[in-house]
Amino acid sequence: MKKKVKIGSIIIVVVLAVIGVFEFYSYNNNKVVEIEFGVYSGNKWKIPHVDTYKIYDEAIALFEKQYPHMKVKVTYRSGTLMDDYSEWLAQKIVKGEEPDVFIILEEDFNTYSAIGLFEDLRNFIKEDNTFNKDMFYKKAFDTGKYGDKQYGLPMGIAPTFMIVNQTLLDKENIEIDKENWTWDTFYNICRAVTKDSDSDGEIDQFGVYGYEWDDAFYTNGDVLFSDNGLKIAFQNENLSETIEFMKRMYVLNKGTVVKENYFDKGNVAFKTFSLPEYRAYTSDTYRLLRYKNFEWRSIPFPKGINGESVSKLDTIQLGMSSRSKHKDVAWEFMKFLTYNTSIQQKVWKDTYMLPANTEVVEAIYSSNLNKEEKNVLQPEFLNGIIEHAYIDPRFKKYQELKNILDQNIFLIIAKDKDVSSGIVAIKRSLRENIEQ
Amino acid sequence: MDNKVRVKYLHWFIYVINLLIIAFLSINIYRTSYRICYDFKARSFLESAQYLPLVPSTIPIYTVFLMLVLGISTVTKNYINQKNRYIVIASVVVDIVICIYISYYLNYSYKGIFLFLAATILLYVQLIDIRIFLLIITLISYILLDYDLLSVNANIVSFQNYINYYPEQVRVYLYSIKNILTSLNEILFFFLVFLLLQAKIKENKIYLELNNQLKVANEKLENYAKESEQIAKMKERNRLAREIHDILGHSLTGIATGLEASIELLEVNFEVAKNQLFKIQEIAKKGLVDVRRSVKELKIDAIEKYELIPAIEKLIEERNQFSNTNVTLVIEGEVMRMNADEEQTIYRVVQESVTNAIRHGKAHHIWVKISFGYYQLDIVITDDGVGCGEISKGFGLTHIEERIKMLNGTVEFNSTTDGGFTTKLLIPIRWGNAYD
Repeated sequence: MKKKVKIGSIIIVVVLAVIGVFEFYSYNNNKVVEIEFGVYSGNKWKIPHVDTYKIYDEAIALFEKQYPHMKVKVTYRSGTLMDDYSEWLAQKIVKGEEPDVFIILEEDFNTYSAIGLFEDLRNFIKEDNTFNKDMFYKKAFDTGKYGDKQYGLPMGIAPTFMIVNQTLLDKENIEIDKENWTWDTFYNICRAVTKDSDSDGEIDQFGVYGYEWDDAFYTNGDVLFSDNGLKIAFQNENLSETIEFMKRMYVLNKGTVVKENYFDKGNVAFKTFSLPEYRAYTSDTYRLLRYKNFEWRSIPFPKGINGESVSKLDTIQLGMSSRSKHKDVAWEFMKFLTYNTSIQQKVWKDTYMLPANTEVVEAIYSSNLNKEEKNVLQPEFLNGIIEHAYIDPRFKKYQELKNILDQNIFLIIAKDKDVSSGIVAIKRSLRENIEQ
Repeated sequence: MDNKVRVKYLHWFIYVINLLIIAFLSINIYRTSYRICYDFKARSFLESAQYLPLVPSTIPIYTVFLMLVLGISTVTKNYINQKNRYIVIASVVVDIVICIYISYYLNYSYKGIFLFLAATILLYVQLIDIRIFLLIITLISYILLDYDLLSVNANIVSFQNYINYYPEQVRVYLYSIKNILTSLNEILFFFLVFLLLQAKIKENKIYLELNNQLKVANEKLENYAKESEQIAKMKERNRLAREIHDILGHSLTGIATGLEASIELLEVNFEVAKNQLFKIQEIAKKGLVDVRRSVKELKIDAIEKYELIPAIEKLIEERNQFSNTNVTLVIEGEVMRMNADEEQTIYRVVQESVTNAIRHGKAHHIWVKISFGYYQLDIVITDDGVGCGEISKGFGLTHIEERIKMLNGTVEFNSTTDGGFTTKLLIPIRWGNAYD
């Protein structure tokens, strides 16, 4: 018995010693606060970019300098392409090694919000006197919301709109009636330009590229789902008008699929476009890459029968891991990237996106801009677009439901099925999926 | 093998099975996590997992460490079992916390560890109320800490999520290992409960038997009590008879012999006879006083404290005064005080013997010798009377025997036809009460 007691106490002492060593080790390590930042290179619009990491390197250098008394180190792994980023981050999460702060891909936001990966930022926002959320574009700030929780902060935003090939319209003698910029006006122009211009028996001039049913649907004054994703929110009528309109547009092309390079060649009148694309292709560096043979300019989406000109707002959201060991520093770093004016100016300079901080944007409006930039960066145009923008619903099943809608609506349009019975079928399968 | 030892071995066997299951589960969670990452399936795994998985590298370390702590706690319980119940209870409470943590680290996918806990409580907690209370807590944990129940409210990934990652054959293989071990654990637990129940039934049987024996003994005891009451009554009656005989017998003998002498003297010398009659009157008065005193004693059942030796001296002085018989008293050893009943018995025996020697032996000289020894009291009463060949025990001698027997003493009567009568008494001294 005495022997066993001895062995037992030796085990206890060893365990305590191990714990002690660990504690000492982590205490020593605590002197240097190291946080990891998750980034990808590349962008959603596939626009070329000279140095994706320039802004992050500069921001990190500035951030680390802010802590003279404490050693703060921010690291990131370079070389993750945007296409691989989702899996890369997921692997980190599965292993429990995810970065403290990271960029949230739009398609990951709902899933990761649902599994509880993100730290709710509301407390940080409430307790930080130096942070004023009203500085952000409200739409951009709300994009980081999931239910009533604030999981993301916007670093940069990308409003979407359309561009029009002015050279083509001029050639066809068409003038856009901006006061009456509706589906009908849009349709009429598309119909007028869709033709076989070189008379080889195939249509080679088209109305629009990249205009999808949901672009049209949101301009018809409706939303698809309730905020929590538990109910279908749209009116049959609004969706049916949208589908009827898309059917008419589809018929114009007589089955020819419009490809992106048709617009590059100057054979398409309209293209959906985002601010970063616009800025990239109007910049001195990339001006010659595309769209060099014609004049083009920006234009909002046409209004639907019951709605306004509305387009999607893309944002770059930053999130914090709920398992981060240095949440305070992580918050400071997030705030630094999304809120600090010097970093926000770099967003404008180095990423083609619009800064999320409205103050910085105001300063940009009044600064020296090139001609094309001035063309689109009119406060009333951009602010209007941002203000009326829609953001994709924030609930986990959204992507699944969106796929159901995409497939069914495509079939109704392409196979010319009956719209009202098609909508009934769509609603049924949506409901089944929601109730699962 | 002793049943108790067998149950403890079984308990350890259950522990080992649990250690195996927990190591199996945690290593598989760990292995699968890295396998998922290796296969580039992390993103789709997170989609199906629904919840943020725990950090896989910590799971095997924590769970096996906690199991070892549980083992140490069980070893400790073995040693402190009899000494301190509260330490046992405290360590069981620690065990409960450990088990809940193990359950948590295994994503609540395994709850068999609570069976081990229940076995621990059954084996080591002796206080019945606390045992039931702890068992209820364990039972509630067993019911509630279940993945299917908890996944509604808590963010956890089930073990099944990990297993489902594998192809069918591997899945079957892994599931069967888990199920075989889990079933083995359950079977062993029920076997342990069975053994405990059996031991309890046996114990109950023995207890019932003992109870019966006790009942019989109790009845006997009651009967004895009744009998001894009867005996006490008899004894009391005998004592009464003895008292009457002793006091009246002694006085009346004195009166009778005195009167006999007086009748003879009347004819010879009237004056002497008259004197003798006065003495006889005195004896009669004395006898009356004795009778009164004796009745008083019987009434209050308490004995007036005699000073034994002075009382005997007085008795002998009286004899010497009114009869022709000469009585000599010799005392040896250190005179000790004895209990009242002893003193009274000795007094009565001396009184009876002297009376007998005068009445029956017609003795002229009587010697009374009392020797106080360390352990016993020796009394020898010898006379030079007529003596007798055969001693016929009358009422008086029988009573002497009875009285001495009550004091655990011995008595011996000797006489020869040549004359003389000797009474020898041996009375042990009750040291325990000697100083009362």
